Amino acid sequence: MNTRKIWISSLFLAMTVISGLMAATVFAAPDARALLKESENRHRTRTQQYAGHLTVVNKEGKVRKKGWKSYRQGYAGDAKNLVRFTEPPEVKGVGFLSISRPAGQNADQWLYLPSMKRERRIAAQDRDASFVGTDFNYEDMEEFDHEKYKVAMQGEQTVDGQPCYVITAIPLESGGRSIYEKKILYLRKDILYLLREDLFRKGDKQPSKIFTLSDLQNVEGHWVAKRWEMSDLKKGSKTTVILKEITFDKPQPVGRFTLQNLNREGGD
Amino acid sequence: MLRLQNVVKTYGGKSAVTALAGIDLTVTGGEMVAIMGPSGSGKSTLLNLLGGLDVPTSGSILVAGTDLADKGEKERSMFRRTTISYIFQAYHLMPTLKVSQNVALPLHLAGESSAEVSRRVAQALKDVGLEGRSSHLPDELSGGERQRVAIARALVTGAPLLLADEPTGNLDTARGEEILNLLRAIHRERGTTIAMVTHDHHAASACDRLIRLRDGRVEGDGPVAGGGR
Amino acid sequence: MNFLLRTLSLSYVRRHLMKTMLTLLGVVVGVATFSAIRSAQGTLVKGIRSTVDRVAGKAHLQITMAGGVPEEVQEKVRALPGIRAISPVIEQIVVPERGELGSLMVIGIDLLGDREMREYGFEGEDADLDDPLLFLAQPDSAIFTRDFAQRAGLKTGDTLPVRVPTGVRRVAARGLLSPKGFAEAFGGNLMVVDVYAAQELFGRGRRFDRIDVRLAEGTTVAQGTATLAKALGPAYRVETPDRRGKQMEQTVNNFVAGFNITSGFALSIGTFLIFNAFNVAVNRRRRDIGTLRALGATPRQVQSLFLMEALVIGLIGGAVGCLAGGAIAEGFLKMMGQTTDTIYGVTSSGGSVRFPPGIILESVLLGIVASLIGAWNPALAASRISPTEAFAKGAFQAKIAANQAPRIAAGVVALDCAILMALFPPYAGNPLILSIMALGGVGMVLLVGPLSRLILRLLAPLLMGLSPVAGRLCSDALLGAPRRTSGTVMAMAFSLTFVFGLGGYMGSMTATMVKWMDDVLTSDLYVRASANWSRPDFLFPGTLRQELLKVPGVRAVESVRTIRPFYQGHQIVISSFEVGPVMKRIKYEYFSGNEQSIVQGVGRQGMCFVSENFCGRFNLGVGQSVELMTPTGPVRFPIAAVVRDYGSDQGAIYMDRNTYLRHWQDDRVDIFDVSVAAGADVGQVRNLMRAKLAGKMPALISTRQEFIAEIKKAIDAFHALTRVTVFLALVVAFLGIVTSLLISVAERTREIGVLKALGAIPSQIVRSVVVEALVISLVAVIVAIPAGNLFAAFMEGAVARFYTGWSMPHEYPWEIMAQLLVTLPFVSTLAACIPARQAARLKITEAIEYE
Repeated sequence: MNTRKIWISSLFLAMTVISGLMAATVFAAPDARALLKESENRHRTRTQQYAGHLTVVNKEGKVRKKGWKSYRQGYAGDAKNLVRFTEPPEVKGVGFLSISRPAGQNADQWLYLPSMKRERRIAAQDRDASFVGTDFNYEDMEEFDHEKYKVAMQGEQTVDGQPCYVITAIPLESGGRSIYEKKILYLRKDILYLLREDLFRKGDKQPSKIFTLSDLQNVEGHWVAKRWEMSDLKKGSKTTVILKEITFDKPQPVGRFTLQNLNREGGD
Repeated sequence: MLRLQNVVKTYGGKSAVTALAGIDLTVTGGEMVAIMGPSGSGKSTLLNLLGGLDVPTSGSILVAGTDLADKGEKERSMFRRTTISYIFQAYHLMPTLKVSQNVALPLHLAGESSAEVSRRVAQALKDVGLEGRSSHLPDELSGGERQRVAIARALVTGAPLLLADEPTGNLDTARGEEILNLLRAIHRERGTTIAMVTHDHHAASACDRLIRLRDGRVEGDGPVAGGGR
Repeated sequence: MNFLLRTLSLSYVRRHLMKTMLTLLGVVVGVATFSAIRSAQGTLVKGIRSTVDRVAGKAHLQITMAGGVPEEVQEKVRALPGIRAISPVIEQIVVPERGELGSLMVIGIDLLGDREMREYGFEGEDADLDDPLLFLAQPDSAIFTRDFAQRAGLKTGDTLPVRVPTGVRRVAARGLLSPKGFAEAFGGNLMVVDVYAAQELFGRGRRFDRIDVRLAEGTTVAQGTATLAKALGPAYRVETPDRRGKQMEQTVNNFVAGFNITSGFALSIGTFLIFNAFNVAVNRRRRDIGTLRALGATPRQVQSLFLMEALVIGLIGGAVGCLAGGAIAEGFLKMMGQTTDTIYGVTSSGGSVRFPPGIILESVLLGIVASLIGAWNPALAASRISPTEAFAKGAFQAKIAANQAPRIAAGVVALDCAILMALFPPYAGNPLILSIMALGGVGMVLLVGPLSRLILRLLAPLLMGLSPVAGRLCSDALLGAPRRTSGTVMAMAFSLTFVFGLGGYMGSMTATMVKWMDDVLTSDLYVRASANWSRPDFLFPGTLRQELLKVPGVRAVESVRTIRPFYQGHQIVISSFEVGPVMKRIKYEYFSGNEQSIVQGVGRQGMCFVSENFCGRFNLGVGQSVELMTPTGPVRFPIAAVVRDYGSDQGAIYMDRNTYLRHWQDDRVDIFDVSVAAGADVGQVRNLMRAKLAGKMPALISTRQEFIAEIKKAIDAFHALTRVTVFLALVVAFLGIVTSLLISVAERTREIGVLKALGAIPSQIVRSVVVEALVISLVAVIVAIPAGNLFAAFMEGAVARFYTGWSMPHEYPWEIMAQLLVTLPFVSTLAACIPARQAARLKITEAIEYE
């Protein structure tokens, strides 16, 4: 087992990080951490922005739809991310700001509510809470720090007709709080792009949530999955995000990723 | 049965009234005695003392060998239960109790078992000829019948001494006669000692012996002429 | 004994059903009052506890501070070791516009972080939260319990109009809670909102009511408390929810303690009724007793018979009293709940009254004990009846001992001792109050009999002068049966003493406060945001003062901020305002110091002045200083003056607003005192202010008179329950007259028969009975006036001083006196109705034959 560390983006960012990753078949005896690091290198971009269309379908089949715009600057350990909801009108202007912090610390996260005209901080204890009623929770929303995980190659498996490496990632005690005990990553062999994650909560034998990425396209030279799906197996609900208007490496305005901007009504 | 020695009873404080001014008297077991005298002569006081309802100011009263003068309330009560029974001019029946319940009262006070109580009550009512009246209320009875209930109540304990306070005073002649006959029969058949206070010469004539009181003293004591009919 | 009870007693009861019922009623009323108060109190306390517990959830500790916990404390606490989770909370009671739904407890929590705290998830199985983002984004969002939603006919998305400080707001049901654990707090009348929305809604500024803390595994409560106390400083209270609940419980218990005395009073009057009834029964049954004794019953058997009867009456009275208590407890609970809410800011869930077996047992026991005590003396008297006396004709009445001197002397001594003890207390606290009440009670019991006879004897000629027939009849009846008469007079006198005493006390308190308010509340207008006196629903920002000053016609505005922190275990009041301008219009009564020392010391040098009761309770006066815990650490404030003040029953400290701002860093305002420029119309200024604040802030703007009236209303609310018990005391007194008269008529059946035979007409008989009732109440009033005065003086003096430290000049309860003098004759006449009719209907033949 390899003990070197690599970076991998959070789930929220993983797909953009990994997009455009090319096949890693050059490695005869693939090493998990090396693969993840290579994947990160291939899919790294300076900035990224897109418009997301979110659909939450609960157990009873009730559907809720929302739209947001997402801006990211930096990458992995120094990534800053701003999400601003655009629809429906009742939630327009709600903002979410996440700023990664160095290894061993959880990212700083804030939620802005226009009706209160103020931000509220998401505390570490709230990482398990659902992110605005989706099947993502706040931890799923934050930057993934490879130093916080012990990774190991499990084998290979086919996902969506694509051969994948199967890698387990176990949060390290020193890596800050995590609500998960284990994650199983499925990395597409040819482009080293993450296609699926099985998420195990503490004490669970079966994954409680499954995250899948599909509809891969090459945009501006970067691979990107335009459809994400998070299924909560316990609650029986499912959240789908469709990405549109994707752009990479577009310079972001100074001050976009600050609390002042988050608190500015309608500030992008 | 009864022995009184120099019994004095005075009432009240400043204006003291002497009810009994030194009585000496002996009644042997099985006698039937009449006590007569004008109002205020001390008859009722004497009867109360004999029954242990009251204690003398001085002197001693021996009833069946027990000196009541130096006994407390409780002892005298217990003594009454077993030894003395009463009948009154006004019957003193509990108006709200049935005949049988009235008769049973002293037995209940003495804590007899209910089986024993009903047996003895039935017998006592039979003895006075009121078998059929046991579930009546006193109000539903004639005066003579009421007094017979009172007699049954007196008999039921089997006490050797029966004190009667004007037992015929509220009754007409015929009813009075019935009661006197009943008392004589009891006296005869059971050997019960009877002391009867009365105004009535006819009633007194039913007794063996007549004691006359005047002003708290014994004025006369002797056998009744033609007594004991 | 059983036989006697079954036969003799039962048949007596059957014959005197009405009287027995009335006797029973005395016990019933006493026990009902007691059990109702006890169970209402229990339910109240339990409701408070259960709400505290259920809301506390998994929190080990709760952080509070007088005036609220600033938001930034959250981050500070989060960073501490051994803390697993924290969650801010705001609690508030609101009333839906549809009042029949009952008060709602609003709990503002941080929905994001709360999953770690409550035994409840706001997602998933427990709660059906339609759209969490929508919930957070819309400030009108609320979650209701399914139960409440059903009662209110609410579906998700529907709105419910609710009265909040800023007016009526429509809140939208955006989620429903399944009824379990947390959702059952406050009887399920729960409305969960976002804590930040609650800040806005209830004017909390950037503060929370408290922060709930859950400790990490392995951290003990003691460690956690120590860590938090050290990090936060002494101005913060760190307590377990249990302790917090207990404190609220204590507050309620103190408040209710007074009513235990009241129910005790009701019961003791019931005891007198029993005493009376048994006395009479013993008289009536004396021949039976004599017969029993002649038949060999021991004195003890006779006594036991009566005591057994008392036992049965006590048992039945206790049981029926419990049932009746259950029926009225609901009302008591409501009253108590309202009072504790307005006065103490402690709220309990509505819920229905619980009647735990403990209270039932206690009540029945109490009924039995009261009944036995009442019957003890008559039973003893019965056992002492000698058969010879019993058979003596006519003359019998339980005799009053010829020599009353020892009794009178003992009574005088007991009463004097009570008075002396009240004036020069040898010891303090509850024991003192109890001993004084016991001694006073004994003194009264001993003295009322002889006193009432004396008064009757004095009244007799007057009565006869007024009405030769009825007057003589009635005075004969009253004087001829001294035991019955004095028993009734005693019961009534006790009731009236109680009424005069408590009424006088309440009156004095109100009058004293009104006078004080007249001196102290001298502004033209009062602008406040909260109707609740002790728990502000809303606080104004300090900057509003400038806005108000701009309103045309406004001459001056002062800002009053009041917090209620704990000082040496007592919840005192610390109030701050602009001392300079305020002192120009306020007239204080000084115990030490003077106006100058306040203007100088408090206004300019950061000193404080304190209320008289604070000075007395904590033994701190001018020249000393009081150390207060402020958010910036402990600060010593020298005392510049001691004034008469009724701001708090536990003690009040006053300081300049600048001093407060400096140390507490809290610029919010409870009340703005507004003075109007000369010549300006107060009503017009008020309208202008209303217009200015409309839609922005809640504002209750009262004129001086209205403001004083509102405070008076709060005081009245405080006395509401006392009023009810005073009323019950009167009911018992009424029962006393009815029983006594019924007995009197029965006793005199023969006499009445003879009178009728001699030509008395029914109206004369009726009149005599009515006059008898009137005379009894008159005598009772005459006895009760001085006794009530003593009792009121005692309440205003020793009792008030002990509980509040306030001294109150006595106000004579003329009003109550006048009311009683008007109503008592009516009531007495009413009470005489049944017995009088019974007397008038008597058939001569039956009456004469009677016994």
